[in-house]
This record gives sequence, C-alpha cells and structure tokens, in this order.
Amino acid sequence: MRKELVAASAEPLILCLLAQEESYGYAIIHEIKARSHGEIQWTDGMLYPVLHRLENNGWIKSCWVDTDSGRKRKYYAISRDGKKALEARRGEWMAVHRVLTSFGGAAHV
Amino acid sequence: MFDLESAMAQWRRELRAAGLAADVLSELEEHLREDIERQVSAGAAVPEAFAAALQRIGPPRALRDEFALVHMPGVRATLRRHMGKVAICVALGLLAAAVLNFRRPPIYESEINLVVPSATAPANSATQGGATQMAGGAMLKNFDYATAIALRIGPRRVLASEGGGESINAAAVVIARVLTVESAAGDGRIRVVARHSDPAMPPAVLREFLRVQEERRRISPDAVIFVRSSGLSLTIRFADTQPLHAPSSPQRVSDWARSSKTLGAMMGAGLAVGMVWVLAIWLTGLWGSPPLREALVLHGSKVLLCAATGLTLGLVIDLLRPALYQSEARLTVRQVIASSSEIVADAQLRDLVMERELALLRSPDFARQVAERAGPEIVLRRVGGGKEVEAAAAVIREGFSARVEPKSSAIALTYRHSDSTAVRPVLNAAISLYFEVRQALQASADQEPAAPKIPNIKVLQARASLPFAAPSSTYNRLLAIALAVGGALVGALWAFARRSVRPQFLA
Repeated sequence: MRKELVAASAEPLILCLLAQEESYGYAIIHEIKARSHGEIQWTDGMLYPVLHRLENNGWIKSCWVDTDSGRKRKYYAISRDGKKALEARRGEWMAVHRVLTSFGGAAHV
Repeated sequence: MFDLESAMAQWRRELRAAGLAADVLSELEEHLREDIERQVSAGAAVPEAFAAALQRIGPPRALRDEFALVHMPGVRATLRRHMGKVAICVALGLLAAAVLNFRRPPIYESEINLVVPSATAPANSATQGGATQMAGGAMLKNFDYATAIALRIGPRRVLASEGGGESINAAAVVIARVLTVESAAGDGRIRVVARHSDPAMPPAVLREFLRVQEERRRISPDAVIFVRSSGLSLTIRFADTQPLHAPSSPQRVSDWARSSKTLGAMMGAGLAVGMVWVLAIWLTGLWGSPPLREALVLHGSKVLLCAATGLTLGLVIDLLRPALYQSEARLTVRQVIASSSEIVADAQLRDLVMERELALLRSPDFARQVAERAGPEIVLRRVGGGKEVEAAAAVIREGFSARVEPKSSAIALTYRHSDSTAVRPVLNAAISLYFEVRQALQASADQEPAAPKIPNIKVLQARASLPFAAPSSTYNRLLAIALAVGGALVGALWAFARRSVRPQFLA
C-alpha cells in the first residue's frame, strides 16, 4: 500500500480499534497487521507520534499500567471527542468507499 | 558477548541525544522489549532479535522529527496555556493608566453662557427653543471657530503644551478639543466650555471665542436654519446673541473622559503586548520544529539577502526623496441660499456641498490654473526648471491636498514641495484662485433664477501658513523598515519552499 494512504488511514484505524477496547502500542500494531492480513505495515516507531498527536487533540487518553512481568505499559483509550472525530472520519472514508464501489467492482480501484 | 541491557542503554542515550522526552523513551523501550521477547520465544537469538526490533522501530532522527511535528504548538493551545501572561500585561496596563492619571496635570475649566434668541420661535415653545439651541450650537461649530481662535492665539502658543509646532491645522484640532459647545436643554442658553491643563488657556480661548463671534455677527447678523429632522425653519438672531457673563475664572475639574480614554488605551496596549508575547512563545515553539528550522538554517542566506535588498531599497528611496516643506490653510465654507444670508445647517446637504468643493479644488484644470497664477518657473525652479505650465501643474497636483475635516465645513488645504520658497506662493495662488472661481460661479448662479438644489457658498478665513518642514521623513524610514521586513518574509517563504521534502510516516 502507498505511503500516503497508510499515513492518512492511520488515525481512523487507531480510533476504530480503541473504540472497541483499550490497547497499547505494540498490540495496536499487531492487531492492525492481523486485521489487514498484512496489507498495512507500519514502521513500528511511527505509530507513537500518531498516538501522541491524537492525545494532543484530546481524542484519546493514556495511562501507565503495571503488567505481570513487572514492567509498565502505556495504555490508550478513546475519549468522547475521539468518538465524535471517529464518526466524522468514518463518514468521510465511507463516502469515498461508496463512490469507488458505485463504479462497480473493487478491481478497478 | 552481546549484552541486551547495555545495548538498550546505548540506544536510549542515542534517542535522548536526538531530543526525545523520557516519557516517550520509556514507551518506545517497552515496545522494543516486548518485540524482542516475542522473537526470542519464537526461537530467535537475542542479538538478531534486537537488531530486527531496532530496524522496525526506525532510526532515531526520523523518530525525533515525527515527534517534533506532533508537539508543534497550536496558536490556540499556546494562548490557552499562557493566558496568565496576557492577564498580567492587561493588569500592568491598568496600573500604568492609574499612574498616568495620577501624574497627569490637573485640568482647568472655564465657561461662558450665551443666549441665542430665535426670531420665529416663540419663547415659550420649548421644542422650538431647543431646536434653536441645537442648531445654534451646530452653527458655532460650522463656522469653524477653532481655526479662527487658533490663528488669534497663535499656533505656536496653542501647540506649546502639545509637543510644539506651527501647523494651523494641528492648532485648530487642539482648540476644537479644548472647546465644547453644549446646549443645555430648555433654558435657552448655549454653554461654551474650555478645558486645558494650563489655567491661563481656558479664559484666553473663551475671550478669543467671543471676539471671533463678534466679528461673525457683523458679517451675518442673522441666519435662517433649516432643521430637516424636525421640519423647522428658524431664524437665529446672531446680532442679539449675548454672553451672560465674562469667562468664568478657571476651575480645577476631574476629567473622566480623558481618564477613561487612557484606561482603555493602556489596557488595549497591555492586551496587545500580552498577545505579542504569547505569539512570540508560539513562534519559538514553531522554530523548534524541524521543517522550519532546517529550512531557515539551510537557506538563511536567502532570508538575509531579501531583507538586505528591501532595506537598501527603502534607504535609497529615503535618500532620493528630497526634504519637503509644507504650508497649510483652512477654508471655512458657508452655505448660502441665493444672495441672502440664509444658512443651511443640514449634515447631508453640507457633505454634498463639501464634495462639490473638493472636486473643484482637486481638478486637473484647477492645478493648471494655479500653476499659471503662481508662475511655472517658480514652481519648477528646484525640480528641473523650465516654464511649461503642464509640468508645473503636474508638480502641484502631486503636492497639493484638499480634504474636509470630519463633520465640519472646513477644508484643510496643504501643499508640500521640496522648494521652501515655492510652498507658500503656490498655496496662496490656489486660495485666491479658488475665491475667484467661487465668485464667478456665484455670479452665474445669480443670473439663473431657476433655483439650484445645491446652495451657493461663501468662503471665509483663508491664509497660507509659513512653510515648515513636512513630517515625511518618518514615513520614509517606516517604509524602509517595512520593505526590509517584507523582504525578510519573502526570503523566509522562499527558504521554506526550498526546504528538503522529508518523507512523513515512513513505511
């Protein structure tokens, strides 16, 4: 997948995932990889700036949680503003999707 | 022997050196450790797992740049965070206003009361009496007493406490501020008040006011005033206008209007300073972001070059422009219907008339006639010489300005020219020509009995002041600075456009 599309889709995908359940960086990367069947590959380090940007926007919240292994992990959860932002993004992506499919068949994309 | 902990510590040092925060480092380290753990449990050797994890997480520089972009501050967020600074600045403004008001010299006030009888309005009719007062008050402003008083007292003395100068217009503005004409409702009087920090000024201004008024009474003993709003037509007997008493001795008064103005100005200035402060904080934050910093560091020479070009251009313009001298005069326009001394006190009509007069004064034909009258060789003496009327007219048009003082029937004429000896003759020529043109227009209008909608006018009070150095050099310097700043901005844009395009969100 092209870099531009990967970058543009990162925010809505992360918001979608966090809307389902709280998660942390490593797990988010693997979940997206699994759901896209390996089609979406992020440079691991690049997820974190996006998470911080979302937190700056007030769309997600974070907290450090102790794990069984004795180390700490930073968990993220979606906020009310984040849900609104997600709905807006989802609407945009669905609109694009509708137009693309209206031409009949995803093969021509 | 590979030691994971020392390798991890080394990696942390690198990232810290790249400028990443401790919190971010901990999060990335946790990610790295989990990745390595999973690889090792899948059967990989630790050194290879570490190398692979490092590869996936990306190089320190790329991480730093991405995080710097995230933390690029927004204007609104910065403003919210630094609201306290703005509040402090406004509070300081408040304090400054208090100190200024405390230190300001006291204001002295003197007053006279005039009785302006109306011939047509019965004395017992309060409405008409009030209208007479209001119209009478407006008349006193229409006559532009301020200029006449300023001339009598002398611009130099008037402006002594206002920073000095010799400009009639500036002095008239001061007098207009010093003098207030109030028509107290119902008692048939017009109260004229003068306020000034110099106790000698208010009585002096009022004495001159009375003398000017006396002069005007001789010129026009009475006046018919149409008040369009109330549909009234009133005759005001200026001949019978009497001051009830001599100017009162100056009294010290508190000046709330000025105090509140200072308060507003100071708090506004405080707010502005606070906003600039926060904006500066925001800009420094922006400076910390790699794209802009890289652009400016790499292409800083472009910014300097553009700024220097702008500055040089401004300075050259400043040097090339010769020193200018200015002379000024005020025309006070009375609007007269037919040949009688009826005067119209109607703002709309007044503005219409003033526009017509301005059009006359600003016309190319007028400039040409002024050039002929003043003598082309005098006009052109220091600007290339010659005797061509058209060339002289062009020079005159460039330096000549006529504008109406807001809400008055006074026209401020100014003429600027690089030759100090030519300034006054040209302006005097313009004034005398204007008077002649007006008289001619008046005569032709009198011959045509079909009443024109716009009344004819008479012009009072005009004298060109002695030339003084025109305040244009400040303007030139500001222009140079503006050009330099503009150049720097253009350079910054140029630099930003030429910055290396860095891939975002590397995949």
